Amino acid sequence: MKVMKKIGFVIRLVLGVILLTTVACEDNDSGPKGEYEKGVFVVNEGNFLDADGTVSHVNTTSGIVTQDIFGLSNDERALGDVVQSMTIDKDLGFIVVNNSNKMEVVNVNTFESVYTLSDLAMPRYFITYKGKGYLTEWVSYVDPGHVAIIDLESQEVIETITTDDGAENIIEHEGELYVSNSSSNTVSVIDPEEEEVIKTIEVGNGPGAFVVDAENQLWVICGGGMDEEWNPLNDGKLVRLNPAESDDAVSNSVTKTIELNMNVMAKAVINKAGNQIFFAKGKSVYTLSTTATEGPSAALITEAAVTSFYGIGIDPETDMLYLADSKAFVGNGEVYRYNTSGTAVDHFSAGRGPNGFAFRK
Amino acid sequence: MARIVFLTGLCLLYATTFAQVADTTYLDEVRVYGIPFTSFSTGSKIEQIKTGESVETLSDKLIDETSLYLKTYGNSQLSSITMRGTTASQTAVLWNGININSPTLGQTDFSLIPLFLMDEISIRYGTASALYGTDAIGGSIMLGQSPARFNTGVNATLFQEAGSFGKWNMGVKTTYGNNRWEFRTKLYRASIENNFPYTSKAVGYSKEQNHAAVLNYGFNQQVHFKISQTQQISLDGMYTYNFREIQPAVTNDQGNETLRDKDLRLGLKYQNNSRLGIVSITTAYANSDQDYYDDATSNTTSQQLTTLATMDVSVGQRTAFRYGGSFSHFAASSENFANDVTDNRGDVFASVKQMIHTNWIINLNVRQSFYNGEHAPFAPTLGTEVYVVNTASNKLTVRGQAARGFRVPTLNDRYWLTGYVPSVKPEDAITVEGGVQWFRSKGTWQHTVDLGMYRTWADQMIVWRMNDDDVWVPSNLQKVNIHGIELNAKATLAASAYVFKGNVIYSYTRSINQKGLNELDQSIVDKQLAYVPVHSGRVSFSVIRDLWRFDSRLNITGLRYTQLDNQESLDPYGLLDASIGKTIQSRKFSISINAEVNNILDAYYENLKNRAMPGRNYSLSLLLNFNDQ
Repeated sequence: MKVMKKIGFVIRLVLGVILLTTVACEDNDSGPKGEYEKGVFVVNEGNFLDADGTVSHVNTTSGIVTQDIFGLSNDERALGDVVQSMTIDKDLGFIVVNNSNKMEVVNVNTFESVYTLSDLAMPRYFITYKGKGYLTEWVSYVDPGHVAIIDLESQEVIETITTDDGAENIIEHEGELYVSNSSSNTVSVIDPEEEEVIKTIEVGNGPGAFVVDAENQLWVICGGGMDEEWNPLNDGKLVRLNPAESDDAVSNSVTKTIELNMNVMAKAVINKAGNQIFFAKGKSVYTLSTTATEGPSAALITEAAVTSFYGIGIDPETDMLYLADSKAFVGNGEVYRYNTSGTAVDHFSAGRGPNGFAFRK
Repeated sequence: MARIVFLTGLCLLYATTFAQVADTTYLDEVRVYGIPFTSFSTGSKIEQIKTGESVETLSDKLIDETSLYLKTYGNSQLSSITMRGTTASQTAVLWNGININSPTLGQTDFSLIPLFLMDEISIRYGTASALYGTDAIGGSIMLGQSPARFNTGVNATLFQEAGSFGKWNMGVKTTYGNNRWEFRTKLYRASIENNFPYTSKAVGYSKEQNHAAVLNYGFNQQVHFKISQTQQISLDGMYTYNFREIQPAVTNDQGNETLRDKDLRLGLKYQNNSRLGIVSITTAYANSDQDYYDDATSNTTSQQLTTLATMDVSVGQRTAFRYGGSFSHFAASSENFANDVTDNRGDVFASVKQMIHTNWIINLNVRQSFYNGEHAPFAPTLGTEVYVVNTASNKLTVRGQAARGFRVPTLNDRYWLTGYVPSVKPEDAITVEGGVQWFRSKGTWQHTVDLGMYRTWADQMIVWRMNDDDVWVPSNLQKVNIHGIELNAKATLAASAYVFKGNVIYSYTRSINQKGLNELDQSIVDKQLAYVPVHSGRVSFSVIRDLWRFDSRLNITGLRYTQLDNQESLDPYGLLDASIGKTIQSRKFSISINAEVNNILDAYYENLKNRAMPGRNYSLSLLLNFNDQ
């Protein structure tokens, strides 16, 4: 009996400890992790060579906008020169700083610096997939771009895969990586297992952002090109690609092209329902249904006060549209919010040259 | 000889009196080189900078000696000027009277102008397009050579300097003059590693500057020939080479951009003091060759050929006229132009100066400039000076001026591939200014106080902004109203074996932007222009005893906004410098040794956001002079 009691006690003790630990863990998970646990981040690239790029935080509950949160959390340190993009993966924020040739990795809840990945080569956009990091880099003004594969444990570049000129946006879709090559007219498809380009698809001049629609089809927006005298070719387009299939002949090919008949900003977002694509040019925002066959006949929004839209985002939970006005980089930029029907919600100041957004989920 | 000194002094003095100018035409010998560009400046403020005795850039010299703000991209790096709250393109830079602002960029990099190769540098504040043509809105910087003196025998100068962060500078100058010829040869070399340590908040730790080394060298050859008692011809040739690693921002560890500049300038000047007046003809050729390297090399070249002719005529003792014209041909080639581009500019101008009374002068200058079939705004200047008190020991001068200035669009503004907008118009500005200067000399005490105020309305200013297709294009979008106050007070006191010198300079500059980004935008309206300090000043103090000399100066630069919406700014800073020197003299030789400490307070400061500047630094220099006479 005594033994049994003792065993019972031990069991209870062990159980208790486990329970306690579990509760503690749950406490940890549910407690506040930091000021920036929720909300929206505005990426302000700053003025080229001024090294004044920042990230602003928008508290979507209180409406409070906090500027330069990296400086605030890191003793006024500057984030760097041309903050190109920000990607969130769990509790880490990956901030790509183009002309400083580095990636600052922060605790996204507190924005305290975790580590810095240096000696990059004109880095642009970043994603994580299966425990590895994939970073597009222009490499130089004369070399073709590539994707750098980053070991997130050792925090170093372990491999590079050359794509095409101006490797820009990157997305994982159906187990393959798609890279838009902004200085050319192609999208490179990469097999992450083999670490090689398996297909190069011609899409249109100046490809940029990707979106995935409700039908699980991948779209890429092409900003359009310039002629020899730098006049716009007005050949921007939305291009739909089918995902990889077993039949190599038809996988990863263009299944639809919507001519926009103008040059546009090579950035696009899609609504929560996955059937409405939004993009911008100048002071205007346009939308197209994924079933559309021709470009938009009119703008959804035209904001007279805006200098030129330079970034677009959509809150994946609320479908709130975020548009960034760079204000020609002469001062701090402005962020405008609209609902998907184009009704203005509000606007607020950001940092210098806002170019995009990152959303907490 | 007295007259020679008299006339040499003429171009140094800002308050040129009428009688002196009238005198020039009656001289037997031609001694007017340089004078024509200041003598019709009635009512304006002019300062002279000492040159030729040290190897340094014009940028560094102006930072040290004036309260002007130069936006420098690092130590010995690209440096652009702002005068009286205007932009870097609104200062005319003239070499032997000819505008040498880059025809493509429309401005001058002041770190590329070596002081050692210049005999004279003067700074004229304010709008003066009637005299100097395009770009002379905020001010004009005149670089040039001093008049030939002839019969100087052999003179030689050797300068050597070693300083912190791998600074090695040297210069050699020799001159020879007999009664018909004068030769001057100058050579210099300057280099700095620029591996200075700094701690900036933006980085968070102490680091050493990398990729900021600079190498400069160059030479100048002058030949002056007296054809006859009334005719002189002068040749001035200058070549400068500059190679620099472009200093990266503090946040950037790597840097691979470099800039290499080669500049060749040739000037030929003929002067004839005829019975009809003084005829002066200058022909200048400038060739600029720049390689910018960033992964690949991009080359920009430009050529300029200018002829400038003036005629100075005096009528009686009270009236002087000048009239003339200039013609320039430009050619430029760059991968940023669809084709090689050329441009022609012509100017006609006239001036009259009238002594109303022995103590009252008025001066009217007019100019019409043409470029590529277009015409620039007609630019008049009306200036006056009144000598309220005018004795040898006590002079009180009141001055006033109203002027219109312009800046014609540069080749980049008109032909840059991405921004081809043929409709860009010239910038247009009006300035009114007034001031008072009091000179007093009493026993061993002497002082000069100069106080001035000005207002400038600058319109049609050309700015490059991104259009809806994300292409940068120029347009006449900016309008700026400027007002300011300038004070310059200096005093000298000789007490037994000592001479004490003090100088206080202060500038107040409000340069206020008037137009938003569009009709609805107010974010940049009524805001101070970026990188124009509202307050800047300088205090200097020197003690001279026999052959010893101590100099100290404190330069203070106020807060500067880094953005036109005035949301971000750089902190004010003060730079304290001191030097001590001794001269040893023999009959034909003199040797001066000078030890200098700069930025004694070891202040961390930036002239351009996130570009580090060096902390406390030292230098030791030696100046050896040989004079045959």
